Amino acid sequence: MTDVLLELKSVGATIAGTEILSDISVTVERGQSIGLVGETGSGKSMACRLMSGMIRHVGGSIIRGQIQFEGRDVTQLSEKGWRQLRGSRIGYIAQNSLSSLNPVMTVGSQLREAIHLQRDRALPWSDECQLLEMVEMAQPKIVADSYPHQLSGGMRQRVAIALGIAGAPDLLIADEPTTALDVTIQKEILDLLSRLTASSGMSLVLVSHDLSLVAEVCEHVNVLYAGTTVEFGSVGEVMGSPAHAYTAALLGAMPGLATAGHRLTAIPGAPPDPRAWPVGCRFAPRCEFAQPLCCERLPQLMDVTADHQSRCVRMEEKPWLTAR
Amino acid sequence: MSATTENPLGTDELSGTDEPTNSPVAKTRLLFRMVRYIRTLGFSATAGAVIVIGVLGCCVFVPMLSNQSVDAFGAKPLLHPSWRYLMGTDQFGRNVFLRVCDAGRIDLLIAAIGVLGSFAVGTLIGISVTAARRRVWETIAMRLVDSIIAFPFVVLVLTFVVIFSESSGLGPLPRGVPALLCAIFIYDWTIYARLARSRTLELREAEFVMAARLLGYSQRRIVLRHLLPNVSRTTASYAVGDIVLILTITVSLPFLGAGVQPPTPEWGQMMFEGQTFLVQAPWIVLGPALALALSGIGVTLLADTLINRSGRTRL
Amino acid sequence: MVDCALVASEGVEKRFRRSSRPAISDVSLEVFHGAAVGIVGESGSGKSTLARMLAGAIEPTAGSVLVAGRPWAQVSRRDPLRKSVQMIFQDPYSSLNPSMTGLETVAEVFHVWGEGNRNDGRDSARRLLEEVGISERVQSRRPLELSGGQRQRVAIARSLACEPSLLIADEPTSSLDVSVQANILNLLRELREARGLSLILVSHDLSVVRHMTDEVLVIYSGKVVERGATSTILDVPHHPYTQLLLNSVPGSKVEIGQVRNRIAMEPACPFASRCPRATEECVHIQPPRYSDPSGGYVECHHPLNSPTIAVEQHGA
Repeated sequence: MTDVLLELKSVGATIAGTEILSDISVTVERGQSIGLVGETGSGKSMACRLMSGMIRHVGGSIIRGQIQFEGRDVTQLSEKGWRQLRGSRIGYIAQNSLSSLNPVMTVGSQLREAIHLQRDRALPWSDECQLLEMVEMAQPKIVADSYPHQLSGGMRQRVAIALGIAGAPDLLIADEPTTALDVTIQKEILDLLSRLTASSGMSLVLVSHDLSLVAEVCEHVNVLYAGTTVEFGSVGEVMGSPAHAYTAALLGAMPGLATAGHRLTAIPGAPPDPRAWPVGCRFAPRCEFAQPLCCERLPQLMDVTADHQSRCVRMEEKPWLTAR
Repeated sequence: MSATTENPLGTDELSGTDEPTNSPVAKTRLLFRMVRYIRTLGFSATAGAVIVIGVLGCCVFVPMLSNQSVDAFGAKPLLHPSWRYLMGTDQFGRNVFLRVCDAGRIDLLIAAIGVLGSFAVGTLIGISVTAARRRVWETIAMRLVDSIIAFPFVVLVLTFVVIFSESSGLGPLPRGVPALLCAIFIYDWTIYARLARSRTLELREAEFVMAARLLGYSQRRIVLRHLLPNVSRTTASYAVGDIVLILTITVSLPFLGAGVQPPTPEWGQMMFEGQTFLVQAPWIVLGPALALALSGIGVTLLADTLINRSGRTRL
Repeated sequence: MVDCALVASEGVEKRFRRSSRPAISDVSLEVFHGAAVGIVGESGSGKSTLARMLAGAIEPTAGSVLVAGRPWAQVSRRDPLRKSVQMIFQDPYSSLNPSMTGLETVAEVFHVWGEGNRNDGRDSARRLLEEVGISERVQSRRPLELSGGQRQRVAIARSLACEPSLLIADEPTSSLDVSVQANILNLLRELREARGLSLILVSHDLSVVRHMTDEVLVIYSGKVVERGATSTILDVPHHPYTQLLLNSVPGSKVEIGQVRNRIAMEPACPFASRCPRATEECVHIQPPRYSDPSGGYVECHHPLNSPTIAVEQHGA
């Protein structure tokens, strides 16, 4: 019996009357790292907010589905309830470290504040310097006395990670933590995240637009398109044998994975506008393998294998594998 | 379902109906889009527009259509407002409402011309010196701006009144107006120049300006076609609010003996003269005051919406 | 076929403020007709600065950049040579005039450079926009109403309107989604083939460079540390920094440690503070250049994969 930490069951959410998420399903088990992959307009930032209970802060609301944390239904949890979860059970790393750190407080004081809020619990670190060492920061004392703008992008991101793990949470949500960073620094940060989760048994949800990046760090990947989860499974299966036309197209579009010199798979059109979701499969208008059946109604998530789910009607035959 | 265009380059657009843009159908559609746009402007903007149009309409048409003369001493003095005399009569028996409308012409005209001139000159100068290759122009212009802004505006106006001396009117402009307009122009353009400069500084680094240079566009073209339309959006939003400011200043000047000189009717002048009768016949002061307030409110409502909208079209 | 380089830099340096470290120092390179050259580096490496100097958009503080043999400083605004090198930028949002429609933006180029009347210019612009995948309906939209990919296409059309021989693309797809990136990269390839366009592609993404270019320059801290054919360099790198970049690409299996050598002053080799192979020599002595007959080279005291063919002492 696996220990499910966080589960989003067919969740739908709106912001200002527009339905941004229609049906996303995410399952995170204890100690597992899963990647949430989506391009612009997929709703992945909204999904992040759902998982940390911040949806109401941006004027959104959950209109269907259920969110469960450790088996407990937290869909309609009050702000007070979420505050008890945040920091201590669920940690969060924002995308832009410069804007997520208070520019007028030293790094050390911000970390101290975070640790202080968790003082009733037994933490693996007693002060901010130990926390900074945990995120492999050289010269922690000097860094602790610095202001965020004095640090490099990579160092700031480490501080952001330190803030996220300060309460030794069970689940860490990282919202595109490396998007603004150089590729060499990106590698360091991802390695750090891998090491942290391995050593502490913490679960990780890594949100990114880059499938290959997610594949580096995570064991499972959840692909989002137009507000719906279109595929979910282990990295090896999803990337080796994608069960959804969108995932296949995405893999074909990435120059690193495509055969050098060949044309990249160009997906025509653009993601649909949330104000006017198409009827049926949302990828169908752009899909080269679409059939009339695809446009009738939105398919449900179905099992391909025990650990692999997809929303694609043609997930059995996988025509995209033979077409290349 | 809709067909994807078979374009090997992978267009981002799916094919839809293609219509020539000049057909009558397209033109009607454009009209509907314009109407819809005006309606989307929202309550405050529409209310503002209604008020401004109302005030302007009165100022233009009432004196034109009335059979009474503005300066006629015909009626009994200090009459209460009635259906015949909407704002009553003043101490000389003149129709206050008629005078308010007539005065409005001059006041609003001064505000409009003053702001328009300052906006045009200030914006253009601000953009040109900031976009110029040689930094020296920028320095000269900005130091000039600094020195002018250092003067209190009212002092400047009074100085000009003395220089021009009260007796001159210039062509169709009544007495006192040239001095006032001079002061407004000399002072106000600097505000726009500064605003334009800060916006140009942002845009100067934008890549589309660099692209224009790489394409060999002349400096003139870059300033007029690429910088001006984008910068003037910012300064124009300010200009609408500036109208209220200039209006208020124009109206305050008669209390210091400057500004538009009698016998030209002017709101400030009317209020100044009406002070003595404030208790007996408050409508003499309240009439122009109401007109001033309405103009201010109407313009501000319009300005707020425009500013909010221009924020959205910014880079 | 032209003999001289389309664009060449000779020992260029760019210093933005008088006393600070130069953004680019002593870079000499040549790009010939038909080439597809990649410039790879991370942020702060100076690659965008180099690209802009090559395009003649900014002036070097030392050295010169030549276009078809003539220095940019001597090419006037209306000189036809000005048209031969054009650029597209990273941020599609700020690379287009927000107050002009796509059609107007492209038509303006024809208007400025062409002899025909307004309508001819518009027709040419329409055709060009269709060619890059912007349909007629989208042509009359302003940048605000366009997606990132569409804006980039309009920018490409604008730069093609004057029929350049060389297109310099400064991270053209870094701000775009993966699937849109694929569209744009495919478009650039098709245009290269159809028009015989030469390309300089600046990127931090090695997989994009591998996919699009024939040769690549690796830049670190304002200096070119390695140059060579894309296929060979990216498989058999000679410079430790190139190796580091390759290791950082998601999907590579090698673990890299975080190396931070403490160095007090500005080292002779810019990479010395991060290099796992650095020695005292690297801090004090300029790294020598090892060249090979095909024009590739590496500047390093301890290069990988033994590249020696010819040795030039740098500056000696």
